[in-house]
Amino acid sequence: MDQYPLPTDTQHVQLESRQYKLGMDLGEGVPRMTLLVGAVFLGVWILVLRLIGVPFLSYVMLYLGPPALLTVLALRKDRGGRYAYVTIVDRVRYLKRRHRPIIPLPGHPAPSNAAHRFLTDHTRAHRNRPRVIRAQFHIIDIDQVKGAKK
Amino acid sequence: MKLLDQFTRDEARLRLPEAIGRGVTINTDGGGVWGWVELPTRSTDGIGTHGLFLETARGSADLRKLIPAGAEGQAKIQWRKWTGDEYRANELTDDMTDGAREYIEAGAERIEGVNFPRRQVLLGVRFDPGAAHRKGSIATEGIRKFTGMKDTRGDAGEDLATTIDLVRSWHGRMATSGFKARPATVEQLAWSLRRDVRRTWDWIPEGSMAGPGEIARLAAASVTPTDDHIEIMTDQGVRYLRLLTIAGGGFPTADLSLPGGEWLKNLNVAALPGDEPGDSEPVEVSIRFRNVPTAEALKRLEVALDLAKEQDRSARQGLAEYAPRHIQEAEATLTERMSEIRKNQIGMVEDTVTWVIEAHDLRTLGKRTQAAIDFYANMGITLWAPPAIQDLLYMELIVGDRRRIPEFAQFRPWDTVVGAWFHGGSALGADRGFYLGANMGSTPGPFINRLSDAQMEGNPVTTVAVGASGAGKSTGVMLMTLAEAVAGAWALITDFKGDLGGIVTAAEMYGVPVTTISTDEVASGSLCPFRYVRDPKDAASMALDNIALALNLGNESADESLVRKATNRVANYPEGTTRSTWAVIQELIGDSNPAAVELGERLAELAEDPLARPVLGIPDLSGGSRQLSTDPGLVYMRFVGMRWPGKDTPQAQWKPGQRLTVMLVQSGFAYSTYMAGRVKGIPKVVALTELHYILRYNFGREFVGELALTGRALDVNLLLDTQGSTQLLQVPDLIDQISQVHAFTVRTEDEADAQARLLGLEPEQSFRDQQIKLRQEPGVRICITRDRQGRIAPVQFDYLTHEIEVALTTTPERFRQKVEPDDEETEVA
Repeated sequence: MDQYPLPTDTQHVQLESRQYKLGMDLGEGVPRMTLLVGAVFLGVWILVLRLIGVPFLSYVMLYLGPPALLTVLALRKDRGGRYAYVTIVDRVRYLKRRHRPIIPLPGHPAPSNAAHRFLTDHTRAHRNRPRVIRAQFHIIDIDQVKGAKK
Repeated sequence: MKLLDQFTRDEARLRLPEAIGRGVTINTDGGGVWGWVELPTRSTDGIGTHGLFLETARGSADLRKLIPAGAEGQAKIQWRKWTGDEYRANELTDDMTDGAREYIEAGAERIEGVNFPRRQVLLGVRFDPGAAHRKGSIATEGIRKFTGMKDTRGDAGEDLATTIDLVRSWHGRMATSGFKARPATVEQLAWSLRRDVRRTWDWIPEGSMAGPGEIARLAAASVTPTDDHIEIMTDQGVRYLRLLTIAGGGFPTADLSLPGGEWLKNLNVAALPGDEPGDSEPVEVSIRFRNVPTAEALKRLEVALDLAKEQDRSARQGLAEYAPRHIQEAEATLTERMSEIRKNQIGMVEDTVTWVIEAHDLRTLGKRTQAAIDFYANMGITLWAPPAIQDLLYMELIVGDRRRIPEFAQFRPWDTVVGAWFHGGSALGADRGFYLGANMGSTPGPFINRLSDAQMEGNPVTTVAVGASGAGKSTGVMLMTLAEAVAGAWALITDFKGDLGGIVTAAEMYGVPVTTISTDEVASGSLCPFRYVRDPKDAASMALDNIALALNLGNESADESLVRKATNRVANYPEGTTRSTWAVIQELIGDSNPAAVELGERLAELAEDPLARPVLGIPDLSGGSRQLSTDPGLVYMRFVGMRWPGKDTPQAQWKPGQRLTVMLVQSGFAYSTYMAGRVKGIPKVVALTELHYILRYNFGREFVGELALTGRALDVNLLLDTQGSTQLLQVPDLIDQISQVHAFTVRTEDEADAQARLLGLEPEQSFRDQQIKLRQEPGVRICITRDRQGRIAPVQFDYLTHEIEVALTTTPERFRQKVEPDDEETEVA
């Protein structure tokens, strides 16, 4: 054996499946994720428009356009090969985890008024509150530990 | 489901160990009980391709069997620094000379100046029994958690009691695995934690660690996460970290292989051009993994295979006609993988790898990040820094915490993780000895060695340095000899080319007593055997050999018989001071046999030759009994004006000067060996340089072979330096006497193959290419070293100080001689 293979099966078990037929033949197939995300956006959008009372036949493009656009934007791949919607969700969760700094780092003074606070809370330059990690642990002599009776 | 994995994030607070013991950490707040072992640095850089395959297969089999099915685990690869303190503690003694102390201090400063990174690899597995075992009702537990009142130590003890047998058993089995793992010490675990939260390099100071039953506290750390990096306040200011992981679809499915695909072996991936020592360090890596149970792995593969088949069928039924190629590849691969699992040939692992890029400022952090990404891009691996979850990736690194982001997990055979070769290494040298140079292998560090410890370890006493001219052999030999002399050994070094005189200067810098013997200056008759060999009969025999060589006498000839009689007569002189080779010559001249007279007269004429005078000349006793001191010190023996016979010239056709050259060398070596044998009670090293001058001859090879055997008998360490590796292999029985090899660059493949045999390797094209291309630049001369334990790694010898470097430089200098113009100088065009 001249080489020792080092395979990885991640892509094999995470196949992007395509829908080749949906009533009619779809040719080379449409990714099912596209159909799913599109269906979700379309469903929500239709509900919203129907609640507002927008007639479908008069505003077909209004019904179809935005969900289609949102689907395209949400399914763009980022540098990590992930769909854009995942990054959006991560950013929203990150904003929730962030706090206004109580102990700002040098060079980053605390905001002086409410408007400043609002802006710093929601801009990229804002720092999360420094988390103070205090590690304290008991030292155990495991040779003295007896196993629990079963 | 991948869809769910995309959104699964464990945002709970950081779970730090609440209790640490030898080989174990415990967190009672969801972190669990973890067993920890250290994977010590081994010597695997030089095991060759076949060895690499075997060790990878063995390691994969070990881990998939030794890590419980379904268990979580973590491998942490971290780096600290080698310090000079350990070297000082090992080598400095109260009875040392000032020079020796200064030399050791120079070595310690060099170790610190070079900034060697020192790897620590910890492997942990979770043995969590779950919360069900805990005593007390759910309400009690709830109140405890709500109020924060909990008996951490008691809970930790309970958790440990239920799992300690499993942890101990696991420790034992990991120790017998190919990794030779040992339970991680409390200091190692505490240091790992401190390194993660405070970015401290320093080891835990001796005596500062709390003992069993006590509480240890790390100084508080201020960690500030941002969208795309982490900021940590340290004692040296802010440190910036960026965590990288593998992008989706970013790991090659089938294109990575060994040799060459060791994707975690070289971790100097964030270095920038122009970095000074200490500017960048190897990157830290954390691998969070889960040993996937067989049934689960098969199920997962089966589901994927069903999907692949469904896709293939759907495509064929429609206008598409064929599914995309990756579907067909997936079908084939998944089928094969399932077969391998069913046959118990492989096991599957789910792992998330995180690389930690670190810098002093954001701009450098960006550059180092890009350098790491580019490095791995060349291997076909795509890394990226996921935004908005840097804090979660950071927490995942830390001992005691858990995997927080399943999305980035790779699903693959254990072979791919073990084949990354984050374990193994380039361990080399001894724990104690002199700092001689840098170990340039995958786990760099100081190369510590002491030649004269070989016999104490029960090893053969011969060390060889082989390689082409100008490759650095002589420098390495001088540095090893110098170290021994400074430390109080009796050391002798021979010099045929006249370029090793700098060792005298260097030795005197450290107060080493030096004796210089130059064959053109040495007293007449001082190398005559009668002067130093105790047994006159032995001296007579050696004198006969010298005379036979000088006169080119045939074996068993009448002339030889005449000379033998004369030497025997001299051996019987009652007064020792009257015995000498010159006396033998006088015996021949005074013989009644005209043939003897003629021999005597010829010898008397020859004795005038500078090459013969030290051996055959009139004894010059004005210096008293000239014998070398047997006290610690350095003897520098220089051979001047050698005239070597051609290697293909039959001995009968050697010219007189050539015969005398060989006689002088033979006598000089015999003298050195004899004197070395007289030294008692201290280490002895004899360094014979440029041996290719004599190895080209049969007598030379026999002589060196006998020398190696004699050296062992006399407890003398031999250091042999030669350009001719092939010639060295022809020396009878020498290879069994060699315990250490330094193989410098060569110019031909034959020489490379000979070096491979000396190193104990099979000759391979990769080794030939490596040896021919070994880095050779001014001041950078690397050799492949095999130490006395048979471990192999590249080494660069270190001069320690600029003064030693200046003294020992053997490269000739060229300089323009300034010519003062005459007053009537004409113009120069």
